[in-house]
Amino acid sequence: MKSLLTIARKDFTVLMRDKAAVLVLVAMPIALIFILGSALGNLEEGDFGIEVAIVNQDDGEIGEHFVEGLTETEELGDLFSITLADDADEVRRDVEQGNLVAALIIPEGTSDKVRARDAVTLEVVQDPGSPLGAGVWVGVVKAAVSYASSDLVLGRAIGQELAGSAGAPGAGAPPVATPPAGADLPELTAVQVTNVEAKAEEEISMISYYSAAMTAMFLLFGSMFGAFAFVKERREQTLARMLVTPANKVAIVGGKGLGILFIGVAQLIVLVVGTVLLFRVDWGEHVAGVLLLGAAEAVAATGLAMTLAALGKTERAIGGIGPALIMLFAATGGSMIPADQMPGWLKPLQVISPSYWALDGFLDVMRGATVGDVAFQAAMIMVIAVVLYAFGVWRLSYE
Amino acid sequence: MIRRVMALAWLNTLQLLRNPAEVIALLALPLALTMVFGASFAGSDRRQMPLPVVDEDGGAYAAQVVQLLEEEQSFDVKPMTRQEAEAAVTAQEAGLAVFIPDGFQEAVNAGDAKIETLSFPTSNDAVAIRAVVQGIAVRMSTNAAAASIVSGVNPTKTFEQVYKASDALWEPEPPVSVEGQTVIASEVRGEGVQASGNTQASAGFTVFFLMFVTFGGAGAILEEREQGTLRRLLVTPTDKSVLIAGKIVGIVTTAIAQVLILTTFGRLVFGVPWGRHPLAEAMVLFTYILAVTGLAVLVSTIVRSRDQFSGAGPILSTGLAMLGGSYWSLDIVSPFMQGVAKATPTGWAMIGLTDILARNQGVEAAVVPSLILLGFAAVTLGLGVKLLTFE
Repeated sequence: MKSLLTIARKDFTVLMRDKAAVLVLVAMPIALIFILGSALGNLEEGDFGIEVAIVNQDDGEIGEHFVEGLTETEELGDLFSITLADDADEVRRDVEQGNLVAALIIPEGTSDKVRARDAVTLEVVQDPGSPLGAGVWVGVVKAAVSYASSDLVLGRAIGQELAGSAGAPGAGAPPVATPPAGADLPELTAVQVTNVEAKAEEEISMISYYSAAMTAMFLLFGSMFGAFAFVKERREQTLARMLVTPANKVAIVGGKGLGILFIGVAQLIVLVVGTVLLFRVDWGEHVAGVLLLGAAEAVAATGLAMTLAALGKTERAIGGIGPALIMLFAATGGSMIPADQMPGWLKPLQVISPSYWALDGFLDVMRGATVGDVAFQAAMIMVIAVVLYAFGVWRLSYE
Repeated sequence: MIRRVMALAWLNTLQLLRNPAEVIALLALPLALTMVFGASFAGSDRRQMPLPVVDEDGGAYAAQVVQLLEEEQSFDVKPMTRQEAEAAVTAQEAGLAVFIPDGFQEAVNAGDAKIETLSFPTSNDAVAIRAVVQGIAVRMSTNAAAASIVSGVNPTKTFEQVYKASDALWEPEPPVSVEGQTVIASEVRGEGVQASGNTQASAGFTVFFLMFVTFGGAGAILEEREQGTLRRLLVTPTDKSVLIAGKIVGIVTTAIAQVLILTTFGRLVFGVPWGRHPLAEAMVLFTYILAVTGLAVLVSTIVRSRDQFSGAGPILSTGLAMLGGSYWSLDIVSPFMQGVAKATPTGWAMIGLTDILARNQGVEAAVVPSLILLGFAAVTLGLGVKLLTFE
């Protein structure tokens, strides 16, 4: 036991002396949290400035109505920077070349067609290079159009039904009863949509999400340095020399593992405190839950270090496989894009990712879960850790 | 001299091939990530969003809500109980669930019906689905408004009759509809035909993993320096510039090989239009490879040991990839972050490749990015070579 602790302390000290490694393990995740939080955070703040254009070729009131509806809504102003243009061909070219994200073209004669009860199709052109921004614009235009359709349907339905009923006072009314835009219509509130956010006690901001996500991902990176240390000692034959000493393999592997575990826990504490101070991230009331999950993941990282040291013979090989495995774990676990965005076939694969369980648990704690609530996630991480450990110890060569 | 450069370049390839695990990581991982991200960011045509729907009412109006949701091709409607649906959203298996509460039928008649939704806070699917549900509510409200006005004035018409007549006016197309069209130079495709998610992901991960291959190559220089073999080479009648040229040619060659494999796969497996403008693609990718080779060499001169380098490399690459738009298209980031992207080689590579691949533009779109990347390369390679020591 004593030799185990000595080895652990030695590995920990060696790594902490390596300033670049410390920078990589702590400063990089904080930088990435900032990048991700601010890159994607504006999605919820609505500070976008997506460049779009409207070309109104209609000379009637319907086209005008649309333009007003889209340009004079305040929320849309935050999201889009809307230009009014005359030349549809030029706008199409601009969209094609990516100078504009999307454009709405209101065709000539829209008002006339609506009056004549012909179907009207508005055209939205989208830049293939900006699929996300263009998609948002299509959604907005569709919503605006559904209200326009509703005005028209309401007018027609009333006109048609009253006109169609024999003896009704409206029988002589013109068959086309399109109410002018902006006329007083009954409020369309018969069916309303009310939304509740799941576990809405605590809404998680982008920066909090990515704080949890990056912590879950970077805790695994500690394993690479552990594996490097192993490979280096193997090359320099100090591992073989250690086997000569009364320290057995269990003590050596355990000691090395414990060293990586210390690093992981230190990294966790720095990341949690750092994100609280820098970004005012709320990790929830039950910090013990965060510690439990983080410690479990640090154990998984030690298992991963053993597996990496068993798989790769040189630093270069580990430098290739390590980040690859970690990023695959992180990507499937939701550290890069939220897990609910993933295609369905991927979901069964998430269970083998330690960062998936850690992130899932961190988010639960942020929403108010207690230590007991996240015990399952921690247990799952420990199962993965045991498997990685077993593989590492089984395949590891000491010389 | 050329022979010596080639011999040194070949050495780099051998060093790489000696690590089969690394080769697999460099080729299999970008392809795996392309698949995951391509599917996640693909348009609604590529991925059906799971949508739990709970009908607690069972009436005709509730059935209409379900039917209209089912008509949306991008939704995979799954009838469930309330508990199941709540569990599905809580577990992030679905971004949003729709509930039609008991008494919906009477409430529509009375003009105060509610469709309830339960959404997961960070879900983008939820935003998209809620917009559709809102559209359905507007349609039903309109019908109900028409029905209550008409049946109020004319008692011979029932609420249901007028509701049906009004609802028929929304089919086959509502009076005003929108057609989305993705415009690509010299071709026009309808909404949803294009595999845009795959194009972004394939370009993004090619750009990302090129950094891994160049960092691996530069790591080999460090390895040789640590082992002292570089110093031994200096004893041979080989000029230092030949040695450096050989190393750099070696890194660039393996990177080109990686590009060829990844783009061929991208084209054949993911349907990404690689190879439509070979010259333009080559201009951007080659100058990008030079720029990141320089970056890798430069970093290798700054760090002290190989494990520092092996740790810093992947993390620096990940940061540059995120900033440069390798993971998601830059159109969703703030104008400030779009400016930041233009300070990175990854950003310019993505700008060039997006124009060429997604927007079907030719050499004219490659000129500016490749010139800027050449500038990056001049700086990083120049500094890297200047600082490179052999002992």
